Amino acid sequence: MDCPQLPKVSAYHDRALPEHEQSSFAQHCESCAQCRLELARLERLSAFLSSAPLDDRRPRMAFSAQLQQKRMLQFAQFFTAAAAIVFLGCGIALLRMSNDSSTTTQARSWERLAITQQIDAAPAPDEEDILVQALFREDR
Amino acid sequence: MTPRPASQGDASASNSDAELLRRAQGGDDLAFDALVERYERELFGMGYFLTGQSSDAEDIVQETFLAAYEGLANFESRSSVKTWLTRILYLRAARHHRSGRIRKAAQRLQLSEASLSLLKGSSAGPTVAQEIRIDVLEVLQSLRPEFREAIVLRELDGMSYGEIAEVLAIPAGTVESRLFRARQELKLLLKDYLD
Repeated sequence: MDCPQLPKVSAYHDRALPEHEQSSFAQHCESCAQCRLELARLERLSAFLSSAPLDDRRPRMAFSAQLQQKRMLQFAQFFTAAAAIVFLGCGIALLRMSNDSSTTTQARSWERLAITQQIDAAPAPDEEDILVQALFREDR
Repeated sequence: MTPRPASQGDASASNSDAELLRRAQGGDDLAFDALVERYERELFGMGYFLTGQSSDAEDIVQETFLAAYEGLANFESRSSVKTWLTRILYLRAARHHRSGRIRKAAQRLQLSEASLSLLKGSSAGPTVAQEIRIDVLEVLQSLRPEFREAIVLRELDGMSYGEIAEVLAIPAGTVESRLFRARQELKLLLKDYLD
């Protein structure tokens, strides 16, 4: 029959029992061969597992370098997005300028129209022709 | 992305984790790099034993540091930096388990002489760490993921029950029962060598 204290061996081995239980279990182990044997097994198991240290190997590439690459990539993405926004902004500005220049053209057409009207309002070249023709007639 | 300050100086090894983290939260990338350098090997080792593959370990550690970097502002120092990073790593390793990798079927293990010596209670000798590492990896891959996590954090990383509870987000009592059951499985797996 198993000792009822046997399930405690794992936590005792990890020194995770409350302080008073830790010392009373140590006393129990002195008189319980089953718990002593279990404890010895766990200690050998721990010796085996903890002989594979976590930090005795380096990754192929340092993670700080990988992170730096990622930051640069994010910066490049940010830069690309910013460039796209600037490009878009320039496009919109050019489009507006183009609209403004259409207005100017319209103003010029108005100006041309005004000049034309002034020309129309001026003495018609036909009258000069009439005077010249009259002079020619007098000469004859 | 925060710019790298020009004159913060090198983050020396004497800086505490909390100090480095505070500076990293203020935008000092060098301080964060110092934390990465401090923990990359340990987290890589943990990732290696949790996933069983160096390449998978590299992936999840990179994801861990990236997530930590992006989540710097949210870290409120209620746990240690190491526990915080380990928690992020654990979540990624757990996702890795769920993504289809199944545990290796329990089979008769072929352990090295060095591992056998340790399991019999003798010294393994100074030059056999690599052989033992392979054996430990093989043994751990035969465990259920939740048992493997508890054993890696306790036996390989030396975390307390409280720290393990924080990393796995489970009560300390559950940590105790998981470790107990994990050791039962390990004893069964290694019964030919432990008895």
